[in-house]
Amino acid sequence: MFADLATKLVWTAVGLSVAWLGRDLGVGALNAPGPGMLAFGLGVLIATVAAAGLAWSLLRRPQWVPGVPAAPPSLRMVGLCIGLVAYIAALQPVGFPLATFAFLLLLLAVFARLSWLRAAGFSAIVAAASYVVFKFALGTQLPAGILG
Amino acid sequence: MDGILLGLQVSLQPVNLLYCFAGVFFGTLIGVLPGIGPATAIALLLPVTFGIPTATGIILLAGIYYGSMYGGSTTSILVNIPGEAASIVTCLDGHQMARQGRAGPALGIAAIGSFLAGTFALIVLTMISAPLARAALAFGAAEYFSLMVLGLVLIGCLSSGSVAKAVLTTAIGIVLGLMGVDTMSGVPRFTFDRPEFIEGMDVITLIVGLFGISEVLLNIEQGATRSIIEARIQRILPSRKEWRQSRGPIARGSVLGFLLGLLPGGGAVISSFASYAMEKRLSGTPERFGKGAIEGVAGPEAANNAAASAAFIPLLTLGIPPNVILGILLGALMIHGVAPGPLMMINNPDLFWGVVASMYIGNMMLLVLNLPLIGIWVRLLRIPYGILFPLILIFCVIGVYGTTSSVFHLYLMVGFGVLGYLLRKTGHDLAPLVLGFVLGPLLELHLRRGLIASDGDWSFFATRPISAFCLALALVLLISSAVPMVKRWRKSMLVEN
Repeated sequence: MFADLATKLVWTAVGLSVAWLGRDLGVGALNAPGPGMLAFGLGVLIATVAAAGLAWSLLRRPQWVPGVPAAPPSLRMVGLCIGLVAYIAALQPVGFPLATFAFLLLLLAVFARLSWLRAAGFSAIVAAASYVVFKFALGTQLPAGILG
Repeated sequence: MDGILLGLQVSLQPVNLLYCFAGVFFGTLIGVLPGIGPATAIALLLPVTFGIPTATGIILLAGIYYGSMYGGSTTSILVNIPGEAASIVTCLDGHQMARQGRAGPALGIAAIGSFLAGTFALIVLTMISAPLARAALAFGAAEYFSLMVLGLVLIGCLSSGSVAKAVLTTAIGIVLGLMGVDTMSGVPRFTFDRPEFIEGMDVITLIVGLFGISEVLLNIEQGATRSIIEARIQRILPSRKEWRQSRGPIARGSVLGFLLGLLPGGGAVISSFASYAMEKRLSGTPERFGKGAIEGVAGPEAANNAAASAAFIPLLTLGIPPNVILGILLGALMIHGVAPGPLMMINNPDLFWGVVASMYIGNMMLLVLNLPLIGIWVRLLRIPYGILFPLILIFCVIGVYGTTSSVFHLYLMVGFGVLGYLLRKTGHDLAPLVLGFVLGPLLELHLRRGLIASDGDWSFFATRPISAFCLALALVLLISSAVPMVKRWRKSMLVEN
C-alpha cells in the first residue's frame, strides 16, 4: 500500500517537474508550437493521471490496512550494484582487462560459488578473450589502462 | 521481381551471407538463453555495425531478431521457461509434449512451422511493400502522427501493467526522447547543462540499462531455478499424424500472425496468444490443449514468426516501428544515416531489398540450424545463471562504452537499470517507455508540422480520413480498456519487454 502511494507521489512530482521545465522552454502558440509544448502537455498528463491514482488510492479507505511491507532489495542485489559501479569507476584508470578480471572473479566466486582458483581461471580467459575480440577484431574502443 | 533479384544480388555476397548466418546463430542463442533478450542483444551489437556497410549491419541485426523467435521455443519446450516473450504460449503444450517423451516432434514442428510461416510472410512482404510505400507517399503529418499515437495506445493497452501505468511510462519515454537540441528551434531541451545530453539520450544506454541490467537485478533477486527435460531427444521430424494435425494451425497461424504483425503495437506475442486461442476454439477436442496438443505449438510458433517478418513492413515502408525491437532497428538505421519510410525503396533499394532477401536466406539457415543443433542448445541451457549473468553484465558494459566511450554513460546505464528494476517491481511495463522514446521525436515533429500547416487548427488531425480513423480507434481502445471484461482479458496477456 505504502509503496503504491509512494510510486504515485513520485509520478506526480515527475509530471509537475516535466510540465514546469516544458513551460520554461516555451509552449508557443497553436499555430507556432514552441519546443516545450509537447513536454508541457505530457507533464500535465503524467501529473494528472498520477494524482488521480493517488486520490483514488487514498479514497479506498477499506484497503488502508497495514499489510506485510514489501521486501527491501536483497543484500546480493545491492552488493551487485555497488560492485558494478566500482567496476565502472576502475575501467579507465585500471583498464578493461584487469578491471574485468577482478569484477568477474568476485561475481563468480560469490554468485556462482566457484572456487577462487576456478573463478580466477575462467575470469582471466573471458577478460582476455573479450578484450582481444572486441578491441582488435571488432574495433570497439576499450581502455587498456595500466597495461596500455 | 526486379527488387527481389537486386536483393538477392546483395544478400548472396559472401560477407552478407556470413553476417546473416552470424545474426541468426546469435539470435537463436539469445532466444535459447533466458536472461538476455533480442532487444538488449541488438543494442549491444549495434556498435559492431558501425565499421561495416549499412546493409550488412542491418542484415546482422534483423537476423538476431527473427532468430530469437526460433530460439525462444527451445527453452519453452525443454525447460518450461520462455526464452523470449513470444514463446510463452509454447510452454503450455510444448513442455507437456516434452514430458511425454515427444520433445523431438515439438521442437521439429516449431522449427518447420516457423520456417513455413516466415517464408509466407516474406512472400507477401515482397508483394505489398511497393504498393504500400507508394500509398504512404500520400501520408502527411496528420497520418503519421495518428498512426504513431495508435501504435503507442495499442502497446499501452496490451502491456502487462495497468493502462494508467502504461500511459505514464509512455509519456516519460516520449519526454526522454525529446532530450537534446530541438531540431526546429535549436533550443537545448532537458540537457541539464551536460554536454553528454546535447545529442539526446543515447538509445543503447537506455535499452541496455532498462532491459539488460534490470533483468539481471530481477533474476538475482528471484533466484530462479530451472529443471531441464533430461531425456535424450529421439526423432526430430513429426510423424504423419502429427504433421496432419499441424498443417492447418501452421497455415492459419501464418495468416493471423502476418496481419497482427503489421499493426503498430501488435507483434509476435499477441500473434502467438491469438493463434493459441483460435486453435483451441476451432479444435474438435479442445480438452487436449494444455496437455500436449501439437496444434498448441504449431499455430503459435507459426504466428510469432509470421508476425516477426510482417513487422518489417511498417518499419521499412512507413518508418514506423511496430514494436520495441524494431524501434531499436530504426535507431540503427538512423545512426547509419538511412531514413526508413516510403522513399527508402527509391533512395536505398539495395538496402531495402537486400534486407528482405536476406530474411529468405536467414529463414532457411534457421531451419538448418535449429534441427541438427538442438543438442548444443540443450547443453547451453545447463549453464548456471551464476556464470551467465556476469558475462551479460560485461557485454552490457562493452556495448555501452563501445558506442559512447563515456564512463558517464556507463553510470547512466546502471541508473536506468535500477530504474527499470523499480518500474518492473511496481508493475510498470517497459515496452511503452521504449516505444515512446523511439517514436517521441517523430511524433512531436509531425504534431508541430501539422499544427503549423493547419495554422493551429486541431481539427486538422480529425478531418483527414486515415488520421481520423486511427485517432478514433485509439480512443476506442483506451475507453474499452476500462471495461471490466476487457480488463480481465488483458490480465491474461503479456507484452514483450
